[in-house]
Amino acid sequence: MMKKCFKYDFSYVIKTWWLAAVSLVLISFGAGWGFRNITLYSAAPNRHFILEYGLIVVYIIAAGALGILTQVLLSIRLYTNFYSDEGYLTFTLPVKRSTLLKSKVLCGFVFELLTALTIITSIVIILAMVPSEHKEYFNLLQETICEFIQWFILDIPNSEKIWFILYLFEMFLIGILALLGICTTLYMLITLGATLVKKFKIGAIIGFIVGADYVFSIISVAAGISFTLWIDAASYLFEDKMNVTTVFWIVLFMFFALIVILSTVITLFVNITQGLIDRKLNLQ
Amino acid sequence: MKKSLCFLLTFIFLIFLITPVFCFADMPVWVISEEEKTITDGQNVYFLYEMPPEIEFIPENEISLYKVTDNSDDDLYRYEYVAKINDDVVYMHNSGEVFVTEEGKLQFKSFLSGEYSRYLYHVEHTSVVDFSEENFEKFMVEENKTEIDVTTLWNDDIYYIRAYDKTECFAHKCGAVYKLDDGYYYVYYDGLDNSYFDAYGDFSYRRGIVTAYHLTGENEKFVIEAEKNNVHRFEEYIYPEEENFIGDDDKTKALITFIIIPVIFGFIIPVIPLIFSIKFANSKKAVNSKRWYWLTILSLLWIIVTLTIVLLFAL
Repeated sequence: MMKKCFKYDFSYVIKTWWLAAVSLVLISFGAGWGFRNITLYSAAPNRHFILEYGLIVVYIIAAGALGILTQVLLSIRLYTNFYSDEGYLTFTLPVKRSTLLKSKVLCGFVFELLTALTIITSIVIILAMVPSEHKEYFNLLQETICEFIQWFILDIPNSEKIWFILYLFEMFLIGILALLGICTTLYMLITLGATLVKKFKIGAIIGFIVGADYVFSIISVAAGISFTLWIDAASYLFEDKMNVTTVFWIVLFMFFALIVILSTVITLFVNITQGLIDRKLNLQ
Repeated sequence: MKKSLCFLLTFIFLIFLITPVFCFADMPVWVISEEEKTITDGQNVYFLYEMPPEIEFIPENEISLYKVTDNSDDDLYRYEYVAKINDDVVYMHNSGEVFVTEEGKLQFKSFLSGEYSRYLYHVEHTSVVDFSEENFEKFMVEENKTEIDVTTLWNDDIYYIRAYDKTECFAHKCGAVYKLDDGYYYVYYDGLDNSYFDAYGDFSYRRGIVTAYHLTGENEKFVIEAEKNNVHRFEEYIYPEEENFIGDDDKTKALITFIIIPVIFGFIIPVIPLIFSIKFANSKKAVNSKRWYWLTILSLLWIIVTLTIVLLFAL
């Protein structure tokens, strides 16, 4: 049943989402052309790049809009499917409630991933269209890739390469968890608004989302400052004892700590969401 | 249970927000007025002093620099540094402006009217030797006076004679010794008219003839000896540590920071999901207790990872 639930969730979002995604890719060609012209003719006298800058601004807005659209479509799907009148039908289906939520989380994650990939694709298109300032490269894409490979092969000693591969793998996992975190947070906030408040549910949901945004901002700033202070204090106290291998281990565990923290938060949010759904259905 | 949990959460949140405030080291900060005419360290007020362009800031000793703020809302720090030369003179490191008290103004007045000490200063080796009044007079021997084309003077071997003020931080070039193929030549800048200098007061090597004194005998020996026995006097500027929130010699503060932050982030915060998960996992009302056990495992893992990082640093 999971597959069927996912199919319906996916088809609901994709029928609007693909148009926005294709538009962003097309706009990225325009932005790439704009960047190309600005790079090539920036030294030309009396040349104004109004159209070029306009296209770049449109691209930035379109990229932001795609991100927002994904969240909006996922929110509408969850709300109408679970908490509007349609919810009475949804929860009478011969499917476990956890499967229904899992399908939504999976769909959310897939679309967050697709959005990220679309934005990355559009950036790749732009980089491929902009000529490099160095003659040995055709464009900025080639320059970026070659510089990265050169940095990895030449600048990092062979004995340290394994650490960087591990870090890249951890960063990849952090990215995946961050995407999952976005949709689980969104679903939890919608569920909070829809289950804890009797009237003006939409208003409550928006309130929860805006409030959560403030809280997360404060937490991230405080965490950032605390982390800097802690590293500063640790370096001050243990600078003499430190060796390269210890530093590599510390960085590895710090990334791992971030993975664990994100996993905990995601699990907590999913559990809260599931618990609130169960509570709404008077099953607790 | 709910009340105590709320209390715990509020308590953690407050500690979490105020911790960084206690961890900042007390950095001495100077305040500049909005119109940038005065600067204060909280005790004395210093006023902007227009220094002639030929006066260089070239301190002979280490100078400690302090951060400057203008207390405006838009930017807290101006990313400028100030050097307190003495109780009456302050130098803005970035803009090169000088601020003085009334006493400082009098000090500069006497310096600019000729009350200074001279040093011989090699252009490349940043070394100086005292160049007393006696040397100064000895160098200008009438029979060795000659006329030289200024374009031939410019080379890598120039010994400037700088006239320093009382603080030994501000100076102007009052003369120079040039090492040419046939020996040393002394040019007395302070005795020349304005046509030999550019707009910044520096001696110009473009074109023209200048009066110079060929150094022979004792005078030549003095310059050679000066080069051999030079004393490296100027070290460097000492900037305040920008990135370090923890001040020097503040081990206790660093230790508290090192302990308190992992305690909050690695032990107290993960305890919240841990309590939640254990409570719900064992609740009879829980529909699916398995998912809460996952949270228990992850919360415990969070604590273990924090402990590992702390131990990696400490051991």
